[in-house]
Amino acid sequence: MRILIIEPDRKLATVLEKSFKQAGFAVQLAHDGQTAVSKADDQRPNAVLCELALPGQNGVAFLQEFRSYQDWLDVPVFVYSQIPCEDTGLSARGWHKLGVHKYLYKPTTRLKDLHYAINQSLTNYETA
Amino acid sequence: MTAEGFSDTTVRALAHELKYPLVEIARHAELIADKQAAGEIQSTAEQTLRLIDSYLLCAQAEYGQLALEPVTAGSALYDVSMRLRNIEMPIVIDDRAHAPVMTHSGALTACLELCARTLVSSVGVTSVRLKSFNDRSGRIGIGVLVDANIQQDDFTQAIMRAGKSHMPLARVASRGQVSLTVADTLSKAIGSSLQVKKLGKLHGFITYLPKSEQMALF
Repeated sequence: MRILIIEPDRKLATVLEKSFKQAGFAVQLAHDGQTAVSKADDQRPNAVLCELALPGQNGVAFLQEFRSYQDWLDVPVFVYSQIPCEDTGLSARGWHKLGVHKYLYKPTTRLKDLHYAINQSLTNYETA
Repeated sequence: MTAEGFSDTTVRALAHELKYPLVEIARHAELIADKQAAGEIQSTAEQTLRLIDSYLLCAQAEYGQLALEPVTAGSALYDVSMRLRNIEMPIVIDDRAHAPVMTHSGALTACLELCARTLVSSVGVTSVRLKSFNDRSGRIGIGVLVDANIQQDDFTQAIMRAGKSHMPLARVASRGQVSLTVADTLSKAIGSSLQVKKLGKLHGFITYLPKSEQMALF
């Protein structure tokens, strides 16, 4: 299982990379949207974990671009963000349209909960 | 932009900025081999993160930006218990109301958490009870009670001085004074106010909220 992690905070990115590798994932790491697109182009990820506060292009714009590519339409996306969901201005329907499976708020989501949410969501997605 | 406006914007931006290093600390702690030390670091960082979120909610509340919605008392109490899981003492949920209230979920849970932490840091309590009940006027009381023999006057003074003093619980608390003021502001933002309550041998803070007729139909 390959996960593309888009995390601008380099220290946190390293923590996420290490924890997902320990959990058995192959990890692709990007610190901004453009690098993420080129990494996904190199090797198609099975899932994407994305912060919304990205340098240059914000996370929603990145997700819109990501979804505009036919090849990646069915790649599950998980938002793991510093921004509370209610502050984004997007409704549940809006996130659903962007193919976001789960919105996880960083300050309250521990790594083990993050792994659990992603594994459970991916299992349900594959069996559906 | 006025000086006051600039100050508010800066403080809010600073609060958001502080979340970055704290998330780094909290998540990094999860990878440390010494689980006990890691747990301590993690819980301190997470508690600080929630404190920052409470202050941000408080700032939003002062601009009247909190939208009320139906929330069941039981789920609010459960959320508070999860936020308090690092206090290392029994937390009892006593949901007698079994009903939805009109509130802002984040503000209510933050308010109750701040009250509980202030009480825990104030006196030597051995357990925390999170309680909801129906009162005679048809509202629902939700609050935090502790098993400590605290003078009623301490709390009365604290509430009277909340928002006016930096140390409303000065006689009993070494910390958490600002927290109580924030809790009181959040309580007001959801259409209530913190009240001192003595139920049997327990003392604490209760906020009274209107029932949600909308959700009660279901």
